[in-house]
Amino acid sequence: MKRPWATVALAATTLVLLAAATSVPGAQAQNAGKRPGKGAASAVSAAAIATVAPAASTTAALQTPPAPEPPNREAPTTKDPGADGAKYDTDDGMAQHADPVVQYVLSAKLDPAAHSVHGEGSLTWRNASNVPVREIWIHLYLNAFKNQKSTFFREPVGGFRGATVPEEWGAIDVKKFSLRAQGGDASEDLWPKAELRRDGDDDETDVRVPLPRAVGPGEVAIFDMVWDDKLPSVVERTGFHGSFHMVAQWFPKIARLEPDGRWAHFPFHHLAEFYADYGTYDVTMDVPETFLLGATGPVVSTRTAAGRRIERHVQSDVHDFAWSAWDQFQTATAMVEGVEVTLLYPPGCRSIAERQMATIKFALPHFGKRYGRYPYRTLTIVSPPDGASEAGGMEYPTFITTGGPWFGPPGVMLPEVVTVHEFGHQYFYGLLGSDEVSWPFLDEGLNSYAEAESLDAWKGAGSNVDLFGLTIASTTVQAVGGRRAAQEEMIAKPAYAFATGENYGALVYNRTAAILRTFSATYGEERMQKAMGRYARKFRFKHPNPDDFTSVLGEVLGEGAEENLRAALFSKGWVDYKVVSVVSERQKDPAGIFDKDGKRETVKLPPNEGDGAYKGWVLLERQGTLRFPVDVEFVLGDGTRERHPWDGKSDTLRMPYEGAVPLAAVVVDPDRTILLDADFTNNHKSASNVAGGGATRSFERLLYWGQLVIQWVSP
Amino acid sequence: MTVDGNDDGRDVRKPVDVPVLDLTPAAKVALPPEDSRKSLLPSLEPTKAESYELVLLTTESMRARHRPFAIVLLWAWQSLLALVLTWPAASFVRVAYGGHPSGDAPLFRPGALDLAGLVVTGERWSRMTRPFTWTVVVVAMVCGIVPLTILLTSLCHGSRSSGAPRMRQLFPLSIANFGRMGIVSVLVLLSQVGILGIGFAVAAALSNALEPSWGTARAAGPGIATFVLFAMFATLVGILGDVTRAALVRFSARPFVAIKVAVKTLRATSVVLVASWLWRTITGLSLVLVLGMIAEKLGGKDGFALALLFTLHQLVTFSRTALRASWLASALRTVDATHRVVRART
Repeated sequence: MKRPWATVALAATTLVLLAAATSVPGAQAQNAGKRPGKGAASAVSAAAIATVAPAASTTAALQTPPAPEPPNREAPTTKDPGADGAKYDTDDGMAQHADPVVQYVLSAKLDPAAHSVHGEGSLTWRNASNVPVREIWIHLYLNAFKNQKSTFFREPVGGFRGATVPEEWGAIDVKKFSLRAQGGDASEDLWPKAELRRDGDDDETDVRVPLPRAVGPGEVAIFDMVWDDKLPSVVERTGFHGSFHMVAQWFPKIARLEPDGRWAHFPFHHLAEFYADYGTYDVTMDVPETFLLGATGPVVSTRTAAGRRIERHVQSDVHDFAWSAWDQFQTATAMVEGVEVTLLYPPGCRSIAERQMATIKFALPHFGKRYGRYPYRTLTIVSPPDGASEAGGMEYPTFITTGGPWFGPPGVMLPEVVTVHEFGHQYFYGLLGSDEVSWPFLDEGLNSYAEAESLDAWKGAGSNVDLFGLTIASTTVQAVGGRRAAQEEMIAKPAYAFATGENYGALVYNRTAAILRTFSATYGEERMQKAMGRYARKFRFKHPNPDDFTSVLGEVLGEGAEENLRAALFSKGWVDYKVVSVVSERQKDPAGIFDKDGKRETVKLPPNEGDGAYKGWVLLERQGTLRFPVDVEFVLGDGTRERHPWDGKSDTLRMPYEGAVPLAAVVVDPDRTILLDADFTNNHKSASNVAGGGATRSFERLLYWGQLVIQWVSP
Repeated sequence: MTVDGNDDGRDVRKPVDVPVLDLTPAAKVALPPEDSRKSLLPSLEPTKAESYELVLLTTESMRARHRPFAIVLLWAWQSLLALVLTWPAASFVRVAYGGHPSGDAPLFRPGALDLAGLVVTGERWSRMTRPFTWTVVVVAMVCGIVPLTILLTSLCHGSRSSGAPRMRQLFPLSIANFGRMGIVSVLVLLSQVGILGIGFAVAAALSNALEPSWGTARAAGPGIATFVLFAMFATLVGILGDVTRAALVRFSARPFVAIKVAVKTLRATSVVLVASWLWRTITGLSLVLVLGMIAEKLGGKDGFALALLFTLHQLVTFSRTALRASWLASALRTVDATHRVVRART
């Protein structure tokens, strides 16, 4: 049922847009950064869709738009050639708001017994491309859980999240989808003509809706929608578990129209996430009074009536809206750097909630410093109950879900890791609205880097595990995790193109993060932070693609870095540094036959002991396609250690040695800066006549643990 | 009838017709009513030990401290198996890092980058050695019956000619008892696994049933409590298993007779037995934990610190073996004290 305020808002929106259409002829999409600052999110007005095309384009442009194509693998860069990169090194240069393309005004009524949501509302959409369109694409991602014929369930990629077959299926049924009357046209329900499925494909998540008229560049179209959701039992980020409801991908959502007029539309793939335009979401949720709500954006009004809680949330500059309702939520709140943080968690999970809140108190300022100030007023964190873990570990704008068991020793940092990761998505997904379907590494990979960087900065070597004297860093987990699939597939490709979920997880998350951490260690942590910060600020509220990212890194770190980055991302780039041999012998007079002063002299073996100096060489090898500069450490016989740089460009390098003491051993990359190194165990070698340090300590520990195990299993 | 005993409780006369040597009631052990003891007597067989020139010790003489050699033997057996178990891994580490100028020090660096890298590098190797590892574990479980039986036999017997029994006496007897001890071990293992499995299922079902109304964490409480109860029951079965082993060796009983004896013993002296087992187990675990903390401080990187840590580790493992021997001696004394008087009167 539509709310009166929504009707008023819609009317106002239409009027203002029509007025703007006649008063701003020839206006083009403006850089969001040049727009004047806006007030709080409660300012819901049609001005959110501020830029429109001249009225003439509405009627003149009737040409057939290009046919939908697969995700754009060679998308044109969104580089701003005139921009000075350095201006994005501080928050002053970054965009304050997004270029608004959509405005959703929605109402949703939850029936917790039937696990259903009735939705109504409007979508105001502006054609921000350069070509007119005669169709739009609507994502109905809840239909991924309608049956096992959906793309989501047909794709045979296990090994990652989403393996659960829901006990109860879910679906979204659109009852009405009409184009608002304009210029004397009658309002028309477009849904009967919508193409829900393709030939031979029963998936109903990606719907083509033909338009009765072309919508020209800059022109605005308003769609009125009515729909019903049947939520599935919790599966892949959405659904219900008991009375807990996670409501995501719950409304008809328009796909993003690229500037060249191609729709970036996708069925809901098993491994993929989302991609959409920025805009304003004005959503009123109606739930039983006993339920607490968590949702995107701040509450602008709340009231109770007839045993129902009706709460309105409004948020600009975002590209999605999700919410959760449960009658058992416990609440914790805190103000962190002016952001109202609300934590909703299950009963009995206070200790974990406290850890999550402490994490946010660290992460919010840390990420703000690294990647630009967090621009929203609120951050809501939902910790799902046990049994609803598939709803956990997910990000939506200003709204994240965490995970992990209610118990757990403090030394196992799962709550911290998940919380930092999901919060990090407020940047790498939220503020940098890259195409998660086509380029998942741009959000998950970069965010995994940011996650480990922040956790390592906060917790040190034990940022993942710090238990019984054993410390495992987040960076370690990513380095070895990414190594597993390094040669399997390339990283920079669409989520649905990965052969297995294991590869997707290992490459998109871990390998990408390890690449960037290697860059940080190799080219300098400060420079890397500068590069990442510049990228994050420059493309805030935009839709960056891989070229945007690699070019910014190249800009700050240099061409060699960009070359390495592209090789690592686009061609399974790898590297393995190796010490092949270490030779060090006392300098000796040469033996053999020598002609000297007309006489032939034979120097016999064994030769003499020489002058006491030692001479030798070290043979190093770099296998693989990546070339990083590394240190080479010479360990001399008297224990002295010398460092020599190697630019790592050649495949092999023979380094001479001469000194008063023998060369005992050599270690390449002793500080382990190259996390991508395929094998650390060949990074060292002792001279053939020198014993290494041995492995007595390991032997001692292994024996002790072995004794304990044997004592335990013995009768 | 009375029996003379020497200092270590060994019978100096041939006790062919009277295999139980001491009629003095054991101190600190509450005896069950006589009726309950009588029922077992017809089932008890003459001891096999006699044919190996072994004599039974008096109740109070069955002390672990009197049999250091048997304890060392068990500890040595376990240490040998541990050596075999860990040798492949130790060799792998030695090959990978033995040639490093700092030895295996990178594996102990904070952050565990090299250690984790080695684990990943060694995955294939680890898969290859997995059957070997399981074989060693099975050997420990199966063949470990022999040194355990040797220990038990040694604890409750003396050699007729000298003090402690000799290996030539103990070993054949242990082999002879292998089948019976094996049956007990299998029954104990299956019972414990079954109890824990059922406990887990019941606990999970209870938590799941309560979770919608109680919430995740609160619902977990009864589930955990339920599982702990089952775990305690499984522990009790473990204690019963040890008492059964003691009865089996002490009375040379068949497995099911030994189980009956053990059940009656446990029923009669449950507090004594559980307390006896518990303090030794807690002590053993505490030693491991305390040494873990010491090791963290000590580091044990190389040189003296490493030697000291090795010594401490070996002391702990030996102490745990000694504690187990002490517990088994206690079980022998209890089962002996509970049943010997009646038998002697017969």
